[in-house]
Amino acid sequence: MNLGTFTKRAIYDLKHHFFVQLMTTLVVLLSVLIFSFFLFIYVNLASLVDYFGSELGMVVFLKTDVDYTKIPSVHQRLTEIKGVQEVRYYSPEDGFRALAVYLGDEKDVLDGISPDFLPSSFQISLNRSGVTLSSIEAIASELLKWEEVEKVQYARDWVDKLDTFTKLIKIVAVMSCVLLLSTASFVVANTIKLQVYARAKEIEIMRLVGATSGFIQMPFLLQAFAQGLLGASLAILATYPCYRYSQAVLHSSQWLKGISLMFLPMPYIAAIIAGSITICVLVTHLSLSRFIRV
Amino acid sequence: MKTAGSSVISVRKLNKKYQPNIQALTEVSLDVERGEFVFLTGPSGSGKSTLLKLLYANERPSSGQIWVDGVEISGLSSSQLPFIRRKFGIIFQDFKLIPYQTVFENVSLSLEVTGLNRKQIKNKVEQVLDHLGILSKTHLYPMRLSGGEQQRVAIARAIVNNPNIILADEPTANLDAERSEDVLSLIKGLNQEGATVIFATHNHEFFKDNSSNVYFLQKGLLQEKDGL
Repeated sequence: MNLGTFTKRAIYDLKHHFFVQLMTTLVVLLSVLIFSFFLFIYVNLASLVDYFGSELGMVVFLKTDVDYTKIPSVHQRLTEIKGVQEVRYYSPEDGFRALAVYLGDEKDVLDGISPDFLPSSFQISLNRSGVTLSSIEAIASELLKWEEVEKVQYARDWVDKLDTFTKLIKIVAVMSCVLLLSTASFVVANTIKLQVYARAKEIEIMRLVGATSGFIQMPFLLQAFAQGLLGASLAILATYPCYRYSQAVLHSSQWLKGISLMFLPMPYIAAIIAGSITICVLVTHLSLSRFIRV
Repeated sequence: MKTAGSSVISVRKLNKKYQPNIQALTEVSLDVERGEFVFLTGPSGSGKSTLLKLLYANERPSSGQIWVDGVEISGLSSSQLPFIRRKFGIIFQDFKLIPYQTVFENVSLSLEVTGLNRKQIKNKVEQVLDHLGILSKTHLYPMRLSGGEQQRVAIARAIVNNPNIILADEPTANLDAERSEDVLSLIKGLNQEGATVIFATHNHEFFKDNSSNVYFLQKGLLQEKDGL
Protein backbone atom coordinates (compact mmCIF):
# COMPACT_ATOMS: atom_id res chain seq x y z
CA MET A 1 0.00 0.00 0.00
CA ASN A 2 1.44 3.36 -1.00
CA LEU A 3 1.65 6.59 0.99
CA GLY A 4 -1.25 8.12 -0.97
CA THR A 5 -3.60 5.38 0.19
CA PHE A 6 -2.38 5.70 3.77
CA THR A 7 -2.89 9.47 3.58
CA LYS A 8 -6.44 8.96 2.31
CA ARG A 9 -7.06 6.57 5.17
CA ALA A 10 -5.57 9.05 7.67
CA ILE A 11 -7.81 11.84 6.32
CA TYR A 12 -10.77 9.49 6.45
CA ASP A 13 -9.97 8.65 10.09
CA LEU A 14 -9.45 12.34 10.81
CA LYS A 15 -12.96 13.13 9.55
CA HIS A 16 -14.55 10.28 11.46
CA HIS A 17 -12.75 11.02 14.74
CA PHE A 18 -12.51 14.76 14.30
CA PHE A 19 -13.19 15.77 17.90
CA VAL A 20 -10.54 13.48 19.41
CA GLN A 21 -8.02 14.60 16.79
CA LEU A 22 -8.85 18.24 17.46
CA MET A 23 -8.36 17.79 21.19
CA THR A 24 -4.95 16.14 20.67
CA THR A 25 -3.87 18.94 18.34
CA LEU A 26 -5.01 21.52 20.90
CA VAL A 27 -2.98 19.82 23.64
CA VAL A 28 0.10 19.85 21.41
CA LEU A 29 -0.58 23.48 20.49
CA LEU A 30 -0.91 24.60 24.10
CA SER A 31 2.19 22.71 25.23
CA VAL A 32 4.31 24.11 22.42
CA LEU A 33 2.81 27.56 22.96
CA ILE A 34 3.80 27.61 26.64
CA PHE A 35 7.26 26.32 25.83
CA SER A 36 7.70 28.80 22.95
CA PHE A 37 6.65 31.59 25.28
CA PHE A 38 9.30 30.61 27.85
CA LEU A 39 11.86 30.23 25.10
CA PHE A 40 10.94 33.66 23.71
CA ILE A 41 11.48 35.20 27.16
CA TYR A 42 14.76 33.32 27.62
CA VAL A 43 16.15 34.26 24.21
CA ASN A 44 15.36 37.93 24.74
CA LEU A 45 16.55 38.11 28.34
CA ALA A 46 19.78 36.35 27.42
CA SER A 47 20.22 38.81 24.60
CA LEU A 48 19.51 41.75 26.95
CA VAL A 49 21.96 40.43 29.51
CA ASP A 50 24.68 40.23 26.88
CA TYR A 51 23.72 43.68 25.60
CA PHE A 52 24.05 45.24 29.05
CA GLY A 53 27.16 43.22 29.82
CA SER A 54 28.99 44.57 26.78
CA GLU A 55 27.68 48.08 27.48
CA LEU A 56 29.53 48.04 30.81
CA GLY A 57 32.99 48.13 29.34
CA MET A 58 36.05 48.25 31.63
CA VAL A 59 38.78 50.53 32.88
CA VAL A 60 42.40 49.38 32.97
CA PHE A 61 44.62 51.28 35.46
CA LEU A 62 48.34 51.19 34.85
CA LYS A 63 50.95 51.21 37.57
CA THR A 64 51.98 54.76 38.57
CA ASP A 65 55.63 53.99 37.91
CA VAL A 66 54.96 52.64 34.42
CA ASP A 67 57.41 53.70 31.74
CA TYR A 68 55.48 56.19 29.58
CA THR A 69 57.25 55.00 26.44
CA LYS A 70 55.44 51.68 26.86
CA ILE A 71 51.96 53.25 26.77
CA PRO A 72 51.58 53.18 22.94
CA SER A 73 52.46 49.49 22.87
CA VAL A 74 49.98 48.78 25.71
CA HIS A 75 47.37 50.71 23.71
CA GLN A 76 48.17 48.63 20.64
CA ARG A 77 47.99 45.34 22.54
CA LEU A 78 44.65 46.34 24.07
CA THR A 79 43.12 47.07 20.67
CA GLU A 80 44.28 43.65 19.44
CA ILE A 81 42.25 41.81 22.09
CA LYS A 82 39.30 39.95 20.58
CA GLY A 83 36.01 41.64 21.46
CA VAL A 84 37.55 45.06 22.14
CA GLN A 85 35.92 47.75 20.06
CA GLU A 86 37.56 50.95 21.20
CA VAL A 87 40.41 51.87 23.52
CA ARG A 88 40.77 55.40 24.83
CA TYR A 89 43.81 56.55 26.81
CA TYR A 90 43.44 58.81 29.88
CA SER A 91 46.66 60.41 31.14
CA PRO A 92 47.09 61.38 34.82
CA GLU A 93 46.34 64.98 33.70
CA ASP A 94 43.08 63.86 32.07
CA GLY A 95 42.22 62.06 35.25
CA PHE A 96 43.10 65.09 37.33
CA ARG A 97 40.84 67.32 35.23
CA ALA A 98 37.99 64.82 35.48
CA LEU A 99 38.49 64.68 39.25
CA ALA A 100 38.35 68.46 39.48
CA VAL A 101 35.08 68.49 37.51
CA TYR A 102 33.73 65.77 39.76
CA LEU A 103 34.66 67.74 42.93
CA GLY A 104 33.00 70.90 41.63
CA ASP A 105 33.10 73.63 44.30
CA GLU A 106 35.40 71.46 46.40
CA LYS A 107 38.10 71.31 43.74
CA ASP A 108 40.28 73.61 45.84
CA VAL A 109 41.37 70.55 47.81
CA LEU A 110 43.48 69.65 44.77
CA ASP A 111 45.47 72.86 44.95
CA GLY A 112 49.18 72.20 45.15
CA ILE A 113 48.80 68.52 44.31
CA SER A 114 50.55 67.17 41.25
CA PRO A 115 48.47 64.97 38.84
CA ASP A 116 51.24 62.38 39.02
CA PHE A 117 49.61 60.63 41.98
CA LEU A 118 46.90 59.43 39.61
CA PRO A 119 47.60 56.43 37.38
CA SER A 120 47.30 56.40 33.61
CA SER A 121 44.29 54.43 32.48
CA PHE A 122 42.54 53.01 29.43
CA GLN A 123 38.78 53.09 28.94
CA ILE A 124 37.77 50.00 26.94
CA SER A 125 34.51 49.61 25.00
CA LEU A 126 33.54 46.10 23.99
CA ASN A 127 31.85 44.80 20.88
CA ARG A 128 28.16 44.07 21.49
CA SER A 129 28.20 41.07 19.25
CA GLY A 130 30.38 38.15 20.17
CA VAL A 131 31.18 39.33 23.70
CA THR A 132 29.58 37.41 26.52
CA LEU A 133 29.67 37.94 30.24
CA SER A 134 32.19 35.17 30.70
CA SER A 135 34.45 36.63 28.00
CA ILE A 136 34.51 39.96 29.87
CA GLU A 137 35.77 38.14 32.94
CA ALA A 138 38.34 36.29 30.84
CA ILE A 139 39.63 39.56 29.34
CA ALA A 140 39.89 41.15 32.80
CA SER A 141 41.86 38.26 34.29
CA GLU A 142 44.17 38.19 31.26
CA LEU A 143 44.89 41.93 31.59
CA LEU A 144 45.79 41.55 35.26
CA LYS A 145 48.69 39.35 34.19
CA TRP A 146 50.30 42.23 32.25
CA GLU A 147 53.22 43.77 34.16
CA GLU A 148 52.09 47.36 33.35
CA VAL A 149 48.58 46.80 34.70
CA GLU A 150 47.77 47.63 38.31
CA LYS A 151 44.04 47.08 38.35
CA VAL A 152 41.14 46.28 36.05
CA GLN A 153 37.82 47.74 37.03
CA TYR A 154 34.46 46.67 35.70
CA ALA A 155 31.11 46.18 37.30
CA ARG A 156 31.98 42.71 38.50
CA ASP A 157 28.99 42.43 40.82
CA TRP A 158 26.70 43.46 38.04
CA VAL A 159 28.26 41.03 35.65
CA ASP A 160 28.09 38.22 38.19
CA LYS A 161 24.44 38.95 38.97
CA LEU A 162 23.51 39.17 35.32
CA ASP A 163 25.38 35.97 34.61
CA THR A 164 23.63 34.15 37.46
CA PHE A 165 20.28 35.50 36.27
CA THR A 166 20.92 34.25 32.73
CA LYS A 167 21.81 30.82 34.04
CA LEU A 168 18.65 30.80 36.16
CA ILE A 169 16.48 31.68 33.17
CA LYS A 170 18.18 28.97 31.18
CA ILE A 171 17.43 26.39 33.90
CA VAL A 172 13.79 27.54 34.05
CA ALA A 173 13.52 27.27 30.26
CA VAL A 174 15.07 23.79 30.21
CA MET A 175 12.91 22.62 33.12
CA SER A 176 9.76 24.00 31.55
CA CYS A 177 10.76 22.27 28.32
CA VAL A 178 11.19 18.92 30.09
CA LEU A 179 7.97 19.30 32.09
CA LEU A 180 5.92 20.39 29.10
CA LEU A 181 7.36 17.65 26.91
CA SER A 182 6.48 15.10 29.59
CA THR A 183 2.99 16.54 29.97
CA ALA A 184 2.41 16.68 26.22
CA SER A 185 3.76 13.14 25.78
CA PHE A 186 1.53 11.89 28.58
CA VAL A 187 -1.55 13.55 27.11
CA VAL A 188 -0.76 12.44 23.55
CA ALA A 189 -0.17 8.87 24.80
CA ASN A 190 -3.48 8.90 26.63
CA THR A 191 -5.31 10.38 23.69
CA ILE A 192 -3.88 7.65 21.49
CA LYS A 193 -4.96 5.12 24.11
CA LEU A 194 -8.50 6.53 23.98
CA GLN A 195 -8.44 6.46 20.18
CA VAL A 196 -7.26 2.86 20.21
CA TYR A 197 -10.02 1.94 22.66
CA ALA A 198 -12.59 3.84 20.60
CA ARG A 199 -11.44 2.00 17.49
CA ALA A 200 -10.75 -1.35 19.13
CA LYS A 201 -13.32 -3.10 16.97
CA GLU A 202 -11.94 -1.64 13.75
CA ILE A 203 -8.38 -2.53 14.73
CA GLU A 204 -9.46 -6.04 15.70
CA ILE A 205 -11.10 -6.50 12.30
CA MET A 206 -8.02 -5.16 10.53
CA ARG A 207 -5.88 -7.72 12.36
CA LEU A 208 -8.25 -10.53 11.46
CA VAL A 209 -8.22 -9.72 7.76
CA GLY A 210 -4.42 -9.84 7.79
CA ALA A 211 -3.33 -6.25 8.38
CA THR A 212 0.29 -5.86 9.41
CA SER A 213 1.31 -3.71 12.35
CA GLY A 214 2.58 -1.08 9.91
CA PHE A 215 -0.75 -0.99 8.06
CA ILE A 216 -2.64 -0.45 11.32
CA GLN A 217 -0.17 2.10 12.67
CA MET A 218 0.48 4.18 9.55
CA PRO A 219 -2.74 6.28 9.57
CA PHE A 220 -2.21 6.98 13.29
CA LEU A 221 1.40 7.98 12.62
CA LEU A 222 0.42 10.26 9.75
CA GLN A 223 -2.19 11.88 11.97
CA ALA A 224 0.44 12.29 14.70
CA PHE A 225 2.77 13.91 12.15
CA ALA A 226 0.01 16.32 11.12
CA GLN A 227 -0.87 17.06 14.75
CA GLY A 228 2.76 17.76 15.66
CA LEU A 229 3.26 19.97 12.61
CA LEU A 230 -0.03 21.84 12.97
CA GLY A 231 0.16 22.22 16.76
CA ALA A 232 3.73 23.57 16.72
CA SER A 233 3.19 25.85 13.71
CA LEU A 234 0.05 27.39 15.20
CA ALA A 235 1.77 27.83 18.57
CA ILE A 236 4.67 29.68 16.95
CA LEU A 237 2.25 31.81 14.95
CA ALA A 238 0.45 32.61 18.21
CA THR A 239 3.75 33.68 19.82
CA TYR A 240 4.35 36.23 17.07
CA PRO A 241 1.63 38.70 18.22
CA CYS A 242 3.16 38.54 21.73
CA TYR A 243 6.49 39.54 20.22
CA ARG A 244 4.93 42.42 18.26
CA TYR A 245 3.05 43.63 21.31
CA SER A 246 6.14 43.50 23.56
CA GLN A 247 8.13 45.32 20.90
CA ALA A 248 5.51 48.06 20.73
CA VAL A 249 5.49 48.41 24.54
CA LEU A 250 9.30 48.76 24.60
CA HIS A 251 9.29 51.35 21.83
CA SER A 252 6.72 53.44 23.63
CA SER A 253 8.82 53.45 26.81
CA GLN A 254 11.26 56.33 27.24
CA TRP A 255 13.55 54.18 29.36
CA LEU A 256 13.72 51.06 27.22
CA LYS A 257 13.55 52.70 23.80
CA GLY A 258 17.00 51.55 22.71
CA ILE A 259 16.32 47.91 23.43
CA SER A 260 15.10 45.79 20.56
CA LEU A 261 13.45 42.40 21.02
CA MET A 262 14.01 39.49 18.69
CA PHE A 263 11.53 36.81 17.61
CA LEU A 264 12.50 33.17 17.96
CA PRO A 265 15.43 32.54 15.58
CA MET A 266 14.73 30.31 12.57
CA PRO A 267 16.86 27.38 13.84
CA TYR A 268 14.83 27.45 17.08
CA ILE A 269 11.54 27.48 15.15
CA ALA A 270 12.70 24.57 12.98
CA ALA A 271 13.83 22.66 16.09
CA ILE A 272 10.50 23.26 17.87
CA ILE A 273 8.48 22.03 14.87
CA ALA A 274 10.78 19.04 14.30
CA GLY A 275 10.73 18.25 18.04
CA SER A 276 6.95 18.48 18.19
CA ILE A 277 6.54 16.15 15.20
CA THR A 278 9.11 13.70 16.58
CA ILE A 279 7.48 13.59 20.01
CA CYS A 280 3.98 13.09 18.57
CA VAL A 281 5.08 10.35 16.15
CA LEU A 282 7.32 8.61 18.69
CA VAL A 283 4.75 8.65 21.51
CA THR A 284 2.06 7.45 19.10
CA HIS A 285 4.26 4.62 17.86
CA LEU A 286 5.18 3.55 21.40
CA SER A 287 1.56 3.72 22.57
CA LEU A 288 0.33 1.76 19.56
CA SER A 289 3.03 -0.87 19.99
CA ARG A 290 1.86 -1.23 23.56
CA PHE A 291 -1.87 -1.34 22.91
CA ILE A 292 -2.10 -3.05 19.54
CA ARG A 293 -1.40 -6.73 19.55
CA VAL A 294 -0.77 -8.22 16.11
CA MET B 1 -3.83 -40.82 10.63
CA LYS B 2 -3.20 -38.40 7.81
CA THR B 3 0.13 -36.68 7.81
CA ALA B 4 0.58 -32.97 8.39
CA GLY B 5 2.01 -32.61 4.88
CA SER B 6 -1.09 -33.75 2.95
CA SER B 7 -3.67 -31.60 4.78
CA VAL B 8 -4.45 -27.92 4.37
CA ILE B 9 -4.95 -27.73 8.13
CA SER B 10 -3.33 -30.10 10.54
CA VAL B 11 -3.50 -29.91 14.31
CA ARG B 12 -1.48 -32.10 16.66
CA LYS B 13 -1.94 -32.53 20.41
CA LEU B 14 -3.21 -29.01 20.80
CA ASN B 15 -3.76 -27.70 24.31
CA LYS B 16 -5.07 -24.33 25.35
CA LYS B 17 -5.17 -23.31 28.95
CA TYR B 18 -6.45 -19.95 30.19
CA GLN B 19 -5.41 -18.50 33.50
CA PRO B 20 -5.96 -19.28 36.29
CA ASN B 21 -6.84 -22.88 35.54
CA ILE B 22 -9.28 -23.26 32.67
CA GLN B 23 -8.46 -26.01 30.20
CA ALA B 24 -10.23 -24.88 27.00
CA LEU B 25 -8.78 -27.55 24.69
CA THR B 26 -7.14 -30.86 25.55
CA GLU B 27 -4.91 -32.84 23.21
CA VAL B 28 -6.89 -31.87 20.11
CA SER B 29 -5.72 -33.40 16.84
CA LEU B 30 -7.43 -32.71 13.54
CA ASP B 31 -6.71 -32.91 9.81
CA VAL B 32 -8.67 -31.06 7.17
CA GLU B 33 -8.07 -31.90 3.51
CA ARG B 34 -8.02 -29.29 0.76
CA GLY B 35 -11.57 -28.63 -0.48
CA GLU B 36 -13.15 -30.42 2.48
CA PHE B 37 -16.25 -29.11 4.33
CA VAL B 38 -16.01 -29.78 8.06
CA PHE B 39 -18.63 -29.09 10.69
CA LEU B 40 -17.40 -28.38 14.19
CA THR B 41 -20.12 -28.73 16.75
CA GLY B 42 -20.60 -28.94 20.47
CA PRO B 43 -22.34 -27.07 23.26
CA SER B 44 -21.56 -23.47 24.20
CA GLY B 45 -18.23 -23.22 25.95
CA SER B 46 -16.98 -26.51 24.54
CA GLY B 47 -14.01 -24.81 22.81
CA LYS B 48 -15.22 -24.36 19.20
CA SER B 49 -14.36 -20.65 19.01
CA THR B 50 -11.09 -21.24 20.85
CA LEU B 51 -10.05 -23.85 18.28
CA LEU B 52 -10.88 -21.48 15.42
CA LYS B 53 -9.02 -18.61 17.13
CA LEU B 54 -5.97 -20.82 17.42
CA LEU B 55 -6.24 -21.73 13.73
CA TYR B 56 -6.23 -18.10 12.57
CA ALA B 57 -3.59 -17.24 15.17
CA ASN B 58 -5.72 -14.89 17.21
CA GLU B 59 -4.63 -16.93 20.21
CA ARG B 60 -1.42 -18.84 20.87
CA PRO B 61 -1.61 -22.49 21.95
CA SER B 62 -0.33 -23.57 25.35
CA SER B 63 1.21 -26.59 23.62
CA GLY B 64 0.87 -28.57 20.41
CA GLN B 65 1.33 -27.76 16.73
CA ILE B 66 -0.83 -26.23 14.02
CA TRP B 67 0.07 -26.47 10.33
CA VAL B 68 -1.66 -24.26 7.79
CA ASP B 69 -0.78 -25.00 4.17
CA GLY B 70 2.31 -26.80 5.43
CA VAL B 71 3.47 -23.94 7.66
CA GLU B 72 3.74 -24.53 11.39
CA ILE B 73 2.14 -21.36 12.72
CA SER B 74 2.49 -21.67 16.49
CA GLY B 75 6.17 -20.80 16.20
CA LEU B 76 5.75 -17.83 13.87
CA SER B 77 6.68 -14.32 14.94
CA SER B 78 4.04 -11.57 15.26
CA SER B 79 5.21 -9.96 12.05
CA GLN B 80 4.58 -13.18 10.09
CA LEU B 81 1.07 -13.83 11.40
CA PRO B 82 -0.79 -11.31 9.17
CA PHE B 83 0.37 -13.23 6.09
CA ILE B 84 -0.99 -16.49 7.52
CA ARG B 85 -4.32 -14.80 8.33
CA ARG B 86 -4.68 -13.76 4.69
CA LYS B 87 -5.02 -17.43 3.81
CA PHE B 88 -8.25 -17.45 5.83
CA GLY B 89 -11.65 -15.92 5.25
CA ILE B 90 -13.24 -15.59 8.65
CA ILE B 91 -16.98 -15.24 9.22
CA PHE B 92 -18.21 -14.35 12.69
CA GLN B 93 -21.46 -14.81 14.54
CA ASP B 94 -21.65 -11.06 15.28
CA PHE B 95 -20.59 -10.13 11.71
CA LYS B 96 -17.84 -7.77 12.99
CA LEU B 97 -18.65 -5.01 10.52
CA ILE B 98 -17.33 -1.49 11.08
CA PRO B 99 -20.49 0.55 11.64
CA TYR B 100 -19.16 3.86 10.31
CA GLN B 101 -17.92 2.36 7.07
CA THR B 102 -20.07 1.54 4.06
CA VAL B 103 -20.55 -1.96 2.70
CA PHE B 104 -17.91 -1.21 0.06
CA GLU B 105 -15.40 0.07 2.63
CA ASN B 106 -15.99 -2.89 4.95
CA VAL B 107 -15.42 -5.40 2.18
CA SER B 108 -12.48 -3.55 0.61
CA LEU B 109 -10.54 -3.67 3.90
CA SER B 110 -9.52 -7.28 3.19
CA LEU B 111 -7.95 -6.16 -0.09
CA GLU B 112 -6.42 -2.91 1.16
CA VAL B 113 -4.23 -4.82 3.60
CA THR B 114 -2.77 -6.82 0.71
CA GLY B 115 -1.67 -3.67 -1.12
CA LEU B 116 -3.96 -3.79 -4.17
CA ASN B 117 -4.64 -0.47 -5.91
CA ARG B 118 -8.01 1.30 -5.84
CA LYS B 119 -9.08 0.10 -9.26
CA GLN B 120 -8.33 -3.55 -8.52
CA ILE B 121 -10.12 -3.24 -5.19
CA LYS B 122 -13.20 -1.66 -6.79
CA ASN B 123 -13.43 -4.39 -9.43
CA LYS B 124 -13.04 -7.25 -6.96
CA VAL B 125 -15.42 -5.81 -4.35
CA GLU B 126 -18.16 -5.12 -6.91
CA GLN B 127 -17.69 -8.59 -8.33
CA VAL B 128 -18.11 -10.31 -4.98
CA LEU B 129 -21.02 -8.09 -3.90
CA ASP B 130 -22.74 -8.91 -7.17
CA HIS B 131 -22.06 -12.62 -6.63
CA LEU B 132 -23.70 -12.43 -3.18
CA GLY B 133 -26.63 -10.36 -4.45
CA ILE B 134 -25.94 -7.21 -2.45
CA LEU B 135 -24.38 -4.96 -5.10
CA SER B 136 -27.26 -2.49 -4.68
CA LYS B 137 -26.24 -2.07 -1.01
CA THR B 138 -22.68 -0.96 -1.86
CA HIS B 139 -22.92 2.52 -0.39
CA LEU B 140 -25.13 1.74 2.59
CA TYR B 141 -23.91 1.54 6.17
CA PRO B 142 -24.32 -1.81 8.01
CA MET B 143 -27.02 -0.41 10.31
CA ARG B 144 -29.26 0.07 7.28
CA LEU B 145 -29.11 -3.63 6.41
CA SER B 146 -31.01 -6.64 7.73
CA GLY B 147 -29.19 -9.33 9.74
CA GLY B 148 -29.01 -11.61 6.69
CA GLU B 149 -27.64 -8.82 4.53
CA GLN B 150 -25.06 -7.91 7.17
CA GLN B 151 -23.90 -11.54 7.25
CA ARG B 152 -23.63 -11.50 3.45
CA VAL B 153 -21.40 -8.41 3.75
CA ALA B 154 -19.28 -10.27 6.31
CA ILE B 155 -19.08 -13.26 3.94
CA ALA B 156 -18.14 -10.92 1.09
CA ARG B 157 -15.31 -9.49 3.19
CA ALA B 158 -14.18 -13.02 4.06
CA ILE B 159 -14.06 -14.29 0.46
CA VAL B 160 -13.12 -11.20 -1.56
CA ASN B 161 -9.45 -12.08 -1.17
CA ASN B 162 -10.00 -15.60 -2.57
CA PRO B 163 -8.81 -17.34 0.61
CA ASN B 164 -7.92 -21.03 0.60
CA ILE B 165 -9.75 -21.65 3.84
CA ILE B 166 -13.01 -20.31 5.24
CA LEU B 167 -13.53 -20.40 8.98
CA ALA B 168 -17.12 -19.75 9.98
CA ASP B 169 -17.63 -19.25 13.68
CA GLU B 170 -21.37 -19.84 14.25
CA PRO B 171 -22.27 -17.53 11.37
CA THR B 172 -25.98 -18.33 11.60
CA ALA B 173 -26.43 -17.97 15.35
CA ASN B 174 -28.03 -14.54 15.03
CA LEU B 175 -30.17 -15.35 12.00
CA ASP B 176 -33.62 -16.90 11.58
CA ALA B 177 -34.00 -20.38 10.05
CA GLU B 178 -34.56 -19.14 6.50
CA ARG B 179 -31.55 -16.77 6.57
CA SER B 180 -29.45 -19.50 8.21
CA GLU B 181 -30.16 -21.93 5.36
CA ASP B 182 -29.37 -19.14 2.94
CA VAL B 183 -25.96 -18.49 4.55
CA LEU B 184 -25.18 -22.22 4.73
CA SER B 185 -25.95 -22.73 1.07
CA LEU B 186 -23.77 -19.71 0.21
CA ILE B 187 -20.85 -21.20 2.12
CA LYS B 188 -21.46 -24.64 0.59
CA GLY B 189 -21.35 -22.93 -2.78
CA LEU B 190 -17.96 -21.46 -1.94
CA ASN B 191 -16.80 -24.93 -0.89
CA GLN B 192 -17.89 -26.31 -4.25
CA GLU B 193 -15.81 -23.58 -5.89
CA GLY B 194 -12.76 -25.03 -4.12
CA ALA B 195 -12.54 -23.42 -0.68
CA THR B 196 -11.87 -25.52 2.38
CA VAL B 197 -14.48 -24.78 5.05
CA ILE B 198 -14.60 -25.28 8.80
CA PHE B 199 -18.08 -24.40 9.96
CA ALA B 200 -18.65 -24.13 13.71
CA THR B 201 -22.30 -24.48 14.72
CA HIS B 202 -24.56 -26.12 17.24
CA ASN B 203 -27.39 -26.39 14.76
CA HIS B 204 -27.63 -30.17 14.18
CA GLU B 205 -30.04 -29.67 11.27
CA PHE B 206 -27.12 -28.52 9.14
CA PHE B 207 -25.35 -31.87 9.12
CA LYS B 208 -28.24 -34.27 9.41
CA ASP B 209 -27.73 -35.43 5.78
CA ASN B 210 -24.25 -36.56 6.93
CA SER B 211 -22.64 -35.40 3.69
CA SER B 212 -19.78 -33.69 5.52
CA ASN B 213 -17.26 -34.54 8.20
CA VAL B 214 -18.53 -33.58 11.60
CA TYR B 215 -16.34 -33.06 14.64
CA PHE B 216 -17.78 -32.82 18.09
CA LEU B 217 -16.17 -30.84 20.89
CA GLN B 218 -17.11 -31.53 24.48
CA LYS B 219 -15.28 -29.82 27.34
CA GLY B 220 -12.28 -29.24 25.12
CA LEU B 221 -12.03 -32.81 23.84
CA LEU B 222 -12.53 -33.44 20.11
CA GLN B 223 -14.21 -36.49 18.63
CA GLU B 224 -15.39 -37.34 15.13
CA LYS B 225 -19.19 -37.59 15.05
CA ASP B 226 -19.00 -41.14 13.64
CA GLY B 227 -17.04 -42.18 16.62
CA LEU B 228 -19.61 -40.93 19.11
